[in-house]
Amino acid sequence: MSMIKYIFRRILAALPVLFGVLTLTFILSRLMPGDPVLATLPERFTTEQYLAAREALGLNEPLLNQYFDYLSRVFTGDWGQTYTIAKGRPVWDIIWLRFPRTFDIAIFSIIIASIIGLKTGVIAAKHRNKFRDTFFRGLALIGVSIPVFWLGLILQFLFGYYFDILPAVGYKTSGIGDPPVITYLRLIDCFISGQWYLALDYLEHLILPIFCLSFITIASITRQARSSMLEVLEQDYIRTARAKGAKEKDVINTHARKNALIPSVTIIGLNFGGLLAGAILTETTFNLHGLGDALLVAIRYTDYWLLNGIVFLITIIFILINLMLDVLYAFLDPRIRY
Amino acid sequence: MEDIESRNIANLEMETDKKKILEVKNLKTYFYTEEGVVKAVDGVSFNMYEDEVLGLVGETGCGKSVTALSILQLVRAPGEIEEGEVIFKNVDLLTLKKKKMRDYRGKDITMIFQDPLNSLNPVMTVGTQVKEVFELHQREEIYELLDQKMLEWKNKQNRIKELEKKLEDNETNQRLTKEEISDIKNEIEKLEEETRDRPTYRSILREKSRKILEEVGIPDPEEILERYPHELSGGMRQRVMISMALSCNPSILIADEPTTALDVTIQAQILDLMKDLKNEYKTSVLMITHDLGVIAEICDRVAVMYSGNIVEYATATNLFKNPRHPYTKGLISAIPTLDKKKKELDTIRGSVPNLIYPPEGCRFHPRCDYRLEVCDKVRPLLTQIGESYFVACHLFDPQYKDSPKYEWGKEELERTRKI
Ligand SMILES: Nc1ncnc2c1ncn2[C@@H]1O[C@H](COP(=O)(O)OP(=O)(O)O)[C@@H](O)[C@H]1O
Ligand code: SF4
Ligand SMILES: [Mg+2]
Repeated sequence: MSMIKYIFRRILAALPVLFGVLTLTFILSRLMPGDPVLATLPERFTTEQYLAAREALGLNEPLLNQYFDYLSRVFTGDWGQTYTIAKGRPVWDIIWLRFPRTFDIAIFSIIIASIIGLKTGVIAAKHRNKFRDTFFRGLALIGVSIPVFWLGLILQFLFGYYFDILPAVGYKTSGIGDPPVITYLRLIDCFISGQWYLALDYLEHLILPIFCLSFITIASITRQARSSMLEVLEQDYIRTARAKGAKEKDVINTHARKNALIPSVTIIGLNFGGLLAGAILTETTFNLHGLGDALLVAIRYTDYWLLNGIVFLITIIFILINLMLDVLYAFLDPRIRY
Repeated sequence: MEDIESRNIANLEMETDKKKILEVKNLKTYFYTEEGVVKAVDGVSFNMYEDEVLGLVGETGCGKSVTALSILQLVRAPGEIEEGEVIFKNVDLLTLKKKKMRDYRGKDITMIFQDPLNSLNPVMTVGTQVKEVFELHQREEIYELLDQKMLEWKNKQNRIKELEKKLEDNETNQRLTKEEISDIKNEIEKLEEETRDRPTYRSILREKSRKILEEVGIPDPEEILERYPHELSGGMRQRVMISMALSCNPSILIADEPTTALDVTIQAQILDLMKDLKNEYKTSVLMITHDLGVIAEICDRVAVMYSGNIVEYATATNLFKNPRHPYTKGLISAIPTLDKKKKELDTIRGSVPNLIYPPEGCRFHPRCDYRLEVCDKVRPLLTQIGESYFVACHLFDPQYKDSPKYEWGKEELERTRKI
């Protein structure tokens, strides 16, 4: 079967998952404590106003009707309005504004973390139980066990206040302009419009959050890369490579690495998904106005429509990432048939 | 005890006019595990001669693979080669630097393994893996060959030009006959066909790989070069392993249970192939197996291993005709033959000893029907008892000819009942 057919089949297979997640979010959102109507009303309101608002939101309909209404809206692209972040604005707008920022941070973090994590993992495996291994394993242990917001706070304190060399919060210096919105990706928009100083300003603000997220991601990639490398190095074909007279460097780089990469790719993909879903704690710590931030608001104020929209987006992201992983496996591992 | 041990590095010269090619002397390889020191190979000595097959036989776990891996220094942590010498063509390999040792691996001494599926890299094509050996050890030869082929190629191209010139001249002076013209045209066509692809390093490498696969009886080698190991059958994979092992014309091929993981019919094919190739390449083979049938079929000499030691070392003919060591006797009588019913097969009582705390004296004594009183006290050493015949057993030591036979207690016999 061709790759395209394979991808198509995987997409079909993902549909039930998508449907399940939609249903589950619907049920969970209705079970959530809190009343979404309150957010749509002014500070003081009358009972009539309340009932009217409730009616307007369609919350008086039977649950099943609400469910089907919700499903049809999701698939027609009408994701409703938010009443919390920006009263009355379509959920889509919020996502378009917020997601690119999260995406920027996620993509930088995952690239940096993959490059460093795979490298350190391999080095650790190569020098098993020697100094370098112990050192990287120690760091990785710190990385996976450190609470990310705590790391964020420490970084903010050190670089934002104590040394005062990097902005501690936000994604731009307040009062500085914005580039014209073209791709929604601020960095690219800055470049397109030639506003280099805006790009620099943006990057400066991203350094600490990216450092923070990379650090924990590097830790988890290092651990996976190390353990899969160690496992591969025990395999018979590695012994064959050595018996052929291959240099230790080639044994690692040509014979072991591709095999060890396969399980590491999973961890990278899942981490990337997690980062794209909005690193809630980091985004909040650094006040970045990303997707995770919006999710937090949606949950706290029972904003059904915003919540459903974001969860739907996250689900699609995970499905896409899994799809990419499947394709990547088929590319890396000839034993996989598609 | 110490000086008796040193006697173990006996003079193992076999009566033969063949050249000695490998000499393993008092090799000891231990594994430092958490449970204790596993003395997997504990003073093994043997010789290999040019153009001969030496069989190394023994039960699973007696240290055959570790012996083989020690020769190539492929033992992995927690294993350590404790002492001994591995002398190949007058060089003690154990004293070599890592880099120098690599030059021997895959070129002078090569190895194939039991499980041909896991022994090939699953994410690399057969071609990549076969080519690697040539690239590692024959770079210079390939470049030489390339120069030579380039020269031929250029000569042929010049010849084409020459011929074309002739035809051109003929346009004006009409000196050639029709036949001559058609001959020239044919020759040009042939030469053009031959020089279509300019020889390259890659093309020579590919040609060499194709040839070696053909040598080991792989049909359609061009196609197999592009395949991944999992797409081949077990027998084909082992052929690929053999092709890699033979590609640099090694002096010694170590085959660690090369047929154990294969179907019976394939086993016979692979064994036949190895026999043929051994004769063709004049490679000495160390054939490791727990199957005496394999030994009988292919080996010139046999070393019987028990619990990290060699207990009997002789020519195959003599050993099968008249095995001396009680362990070897047990092994041989355990081979099923047509006139022995399965039930009546003699097997050896008890089980393989622990290698962390091996039995004192003769390591075989807890299982030996011929055991003497001294056997659990003094370790027997490999000593010559006849022409090209060595045994490590007190029964053949004149020193102990008056030693009383050990009386097995009833309970003891029951405990170690033959299975
Ligand atoms: N990596 C290892 N760690 C500990 N012990 C080992 C290791 N490899 C082999 N051994 C021990 O060495 C002994 C000999 O093993 P091996 O040479 O593989 O036996 P075989 O004769 O079946 O090839 C075994 O009893 C095993 O317990
Ligand atoms: S030395 Fe003794 S115990 Fe060992 S094989 Fe010979 S007779 Fe048996
Ligand atoms: Mg073995």
